[in-house]
Amino acid sequence: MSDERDNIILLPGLRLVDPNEEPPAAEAPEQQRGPRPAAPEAVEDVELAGVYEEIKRFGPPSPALLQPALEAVLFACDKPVRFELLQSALGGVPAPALRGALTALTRSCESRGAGVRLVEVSGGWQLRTIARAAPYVSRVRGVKPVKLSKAAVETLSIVAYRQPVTRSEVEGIRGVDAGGMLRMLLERGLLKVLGRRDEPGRPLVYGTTPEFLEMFGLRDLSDLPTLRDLRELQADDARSSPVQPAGWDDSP
Amino acid sequence: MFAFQPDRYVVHTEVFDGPLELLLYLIRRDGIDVRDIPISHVTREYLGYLDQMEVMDLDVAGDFLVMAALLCELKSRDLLPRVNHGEEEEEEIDPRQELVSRLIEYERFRQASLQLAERDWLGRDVFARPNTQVARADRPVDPGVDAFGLLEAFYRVLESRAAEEPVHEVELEEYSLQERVTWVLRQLSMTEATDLRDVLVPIRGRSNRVITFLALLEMARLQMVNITQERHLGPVLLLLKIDPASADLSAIPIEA
Repeated sequence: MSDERDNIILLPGLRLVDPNEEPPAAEAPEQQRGPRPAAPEAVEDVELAGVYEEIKRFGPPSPALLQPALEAVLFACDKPVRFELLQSALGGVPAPALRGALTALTRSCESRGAGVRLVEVSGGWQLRTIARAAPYVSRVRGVKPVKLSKAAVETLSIVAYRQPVTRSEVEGIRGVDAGGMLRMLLERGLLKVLGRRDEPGRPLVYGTTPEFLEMFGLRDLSDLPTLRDLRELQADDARSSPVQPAGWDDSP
Repeated sequence: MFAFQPDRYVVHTEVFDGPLELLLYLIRRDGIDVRDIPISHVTREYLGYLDQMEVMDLDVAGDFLVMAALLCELKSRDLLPRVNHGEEEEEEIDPRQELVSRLIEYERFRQASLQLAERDWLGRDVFARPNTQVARADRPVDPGVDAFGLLEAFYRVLESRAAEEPVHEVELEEYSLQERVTWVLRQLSMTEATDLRDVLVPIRGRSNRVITFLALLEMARLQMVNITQERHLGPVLLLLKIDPASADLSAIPIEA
C-alpha cells in the first residue's frame, strides 16, 4: 500500500473570465475575446466564460422574461452556477433583480408542485429533482444510487468539521485506521489534500471539496449542522467542563 | 458472581466499525451515563462481544483488542488500592477520564455523520442535470477512465523502452491515425480485454507509440473502444465495442 501522497496530482489552476472585472463597455476590444487569467475557479465558470462576451451584447431579458430565462439557464447547466455568473449569463442583469428572480423561482417551484427545486449549493444555484421522485429518476438515469458506508460518512464529517486535519487526527477520533477510507474519499473527489502540516513527519492535511458540498446539498461549510448538537449523550465537552466521576462503584 | 450469558449476544445485526462505536453501543444499550461508566460491567460486555465476533477481520480486530486491553487496565486499576502520595500527588491524566473524553468526542462526530446521512444526497435522493454532451462542442469526452492512470501508463511505456531506442535513425517513418486504428483494431480483436501496456509496449519507436496512443483516444471518441480501469492507478483495460470487420474509419483524420 503506497502512501496516498503518491497519488496526488495537482491540476493547473483553471482560468476564466470574471465578469466583475470586465468594464461595462459594450464594445470590447478584439484581443479581449478569449478567456484571460483570473482567479482559479470551478469548471462551470470556464464553460460559461466563453459565452459571456456574446451574451453581454444581448443585454438583460425584459422583466417578464427574467424568471423564465433564469429557469431556462439553470435547466441547461449541469453544475451549480455562481450568482455572478448567472448575472453575466443573463446579460448583466442587476443583482437585486436577479435576487428577486431567484426567490420567485424558488417559491414558484414549490407552489406549483414542480418536480424540481431550486437550491443553493456549493456557492451556486442549481435545479435539482425532488427527493420524493428519486426512485423514478434513478431508474431512468440507469446508474446505481450513490452509496457511502457508515464509516465513510463518519470520516467525511470528521474531516469536514476539523479541516485541515491529518490522518492520525481522524484515527484518533474514530479509533480505527483511516488510511483506506481517506484514499477512497480522495478518489471519489469528496476530499482533497490541502497540503502538509509543519510538524514532525510533515503529515498531509485533508479538507473537503466543492463536490462534498454538492453531494450533501450544503451552501458552504458553515451550512454544516452544528457539532454541539448532542442528543443522546447529554454531556458537554468533557474537557471544558471536567466531570468528577461519582465513584466508580463497580468494585468486584 | 457474573455468570456469562451467551444468549444475550446472539441477536446482533449491527456491525461495528470500531471499538469506540461498540463501546458506545453497549453504554447506550445498558442506559449507562457515559461520564460514569462502570468499568467492570462494560469490560465484561465488551469482551463478551469480541468473543461473539465469529469472523475477525485481523486489521479491525487489532483496534478492538487495543480497546479491550485499555478496559482491562482500567478495571485492574480499580482493583488496586489507591496509593496516596500525600500533598505532592501528581496530576496525571486519568486514563478513564481520557476514555470518556474520547467517547464523547466520537459521539459528537457520529451524530454529525448521522445528520449528514439523512440529508438529500445528490445522486441518491436528488439529481441534477447530467453532464450533457450536446451542451458545448468542445467539451472533452469522458473516456470513463482516470486521466492520470492513462497518462501514467503511457509514461511507463515510454520509460520502459527508453534504453532500447535505436542509436541512429535510418529513415523517418510516417504513421497515420487511420493505419494505427486499423492496427489497434487487429490487436484488440484477438482478445476480449487488453491491458493498454500490452498494446503500447511492443511498439518500436516513440513517435509510433504516440500516434498509437492518439489513435486509441480517437477510437474512444468514436465509441469504438471502451477504456476502463477497475481501480485507481490499476491497469488500463481496452475493450472493443464494435466488430472490427465493419469498422467505419472514414471519420478518422488521416493525418495525426
